[in-house]
Amino acid sequence: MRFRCALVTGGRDQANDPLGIDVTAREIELKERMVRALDGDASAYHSLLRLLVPQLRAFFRRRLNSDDVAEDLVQETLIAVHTKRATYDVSRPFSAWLYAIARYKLADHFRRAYRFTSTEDLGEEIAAPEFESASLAFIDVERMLDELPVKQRSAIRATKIEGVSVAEAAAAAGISQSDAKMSVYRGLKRLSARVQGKLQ
Amino acid sequence: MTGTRPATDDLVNSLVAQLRPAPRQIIPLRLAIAAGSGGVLSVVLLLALIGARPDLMSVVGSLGFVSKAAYMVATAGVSLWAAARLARPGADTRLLWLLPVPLLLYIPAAILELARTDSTQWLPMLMGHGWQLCTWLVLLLSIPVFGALTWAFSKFAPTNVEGAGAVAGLSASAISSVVYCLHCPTDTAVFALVWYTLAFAIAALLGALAGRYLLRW
Repeated sequence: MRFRCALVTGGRDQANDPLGIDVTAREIELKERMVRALDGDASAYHSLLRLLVPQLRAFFRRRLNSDDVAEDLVQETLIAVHTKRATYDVSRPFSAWLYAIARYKLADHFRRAYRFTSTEDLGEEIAAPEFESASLAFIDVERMLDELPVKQRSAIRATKIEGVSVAEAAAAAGISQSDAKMSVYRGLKRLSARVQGKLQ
Repeated sequence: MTGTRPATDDLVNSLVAQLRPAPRQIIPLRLAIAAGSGGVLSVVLLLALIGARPDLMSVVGSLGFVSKAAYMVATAGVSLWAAARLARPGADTRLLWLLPVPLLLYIPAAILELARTDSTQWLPMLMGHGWQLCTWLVLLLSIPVFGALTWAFSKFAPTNVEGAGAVAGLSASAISSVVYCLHCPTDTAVFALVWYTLAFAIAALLGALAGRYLLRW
């Protein structure tokens, strides 16, 4: 898809952005391995699981006090990824599927740990920031972009989708470079907030 | 910082060793098997308990019978489709508003029917021949279907277990209501609208409660 390819090869300063190249490249990397693993490719599967371990470890440690409990949940999530792998729909983002499982396992843990805590109240606690929200952002990226103010939308479109540099985008829009950068940053922040809002 | 984690590394290796190609289309396949086998069990149960209506062959093409059955078939179809969605983690739930569409299409049919009949007939039309039993028989006949759908879900990964239970209950009762059409002697739309829809609502509610226990993974 045009959007993803542009992100991989696109503008220079994306690596510093909160929703920039790393996350998208990682999603492509994971998904490609998952698709091959579904066909029975063991080396792709091994490489997939090895990439998932640190990612899941970070996810659970950020939300739990105990590293041991976090490690248990990493393992439970890996087992669920394995036994439920046929439920992954290859036409959808892999990260969305992965973090839905991780969140489910986390909610399940809290439910067991605090029998009297309703899982509905855990929304705030288990909503995943950073990587997850970033990965989910491109599910409906075109539709969601339309909801942004014009300046932010065109700044994001230029630098993130068409892949031109900030300087070029600023010149084309007739605004200063720092203004363009700020528009990109604000727009991405807004998109990220919207995605998280939708998940709850 | 964390060093090596032998247990997790071992787990990764053993999962890789167990890898087999994953079956494609497992969700529609299992749902179809469950709906089909549950429906057959439901028919057997109906014939064993109360039998088909004697005039089945003569009414099977009538407008009342066909529109009633169409409402139930449409509800079964849309709820099975919703179940397929909720079977996946992080399911996209934006299209679940389609669930009540068959009901919304059937309401005008019932209103039209009432408008074309003398109001003294309204109560008999609503009460039919067996309103006391209809709702409960549909629920009874839905039990084998719900059991089969629970089996189908055992390989799925619903992250919203109450929602998945509710659509499984709705699917089960919609399928069993199609089966119950073989017996139900009343073909008025207002009867079907009220008493079958009541069965759907009860089944969805019970399914949501059962889902909490049966659909966890």
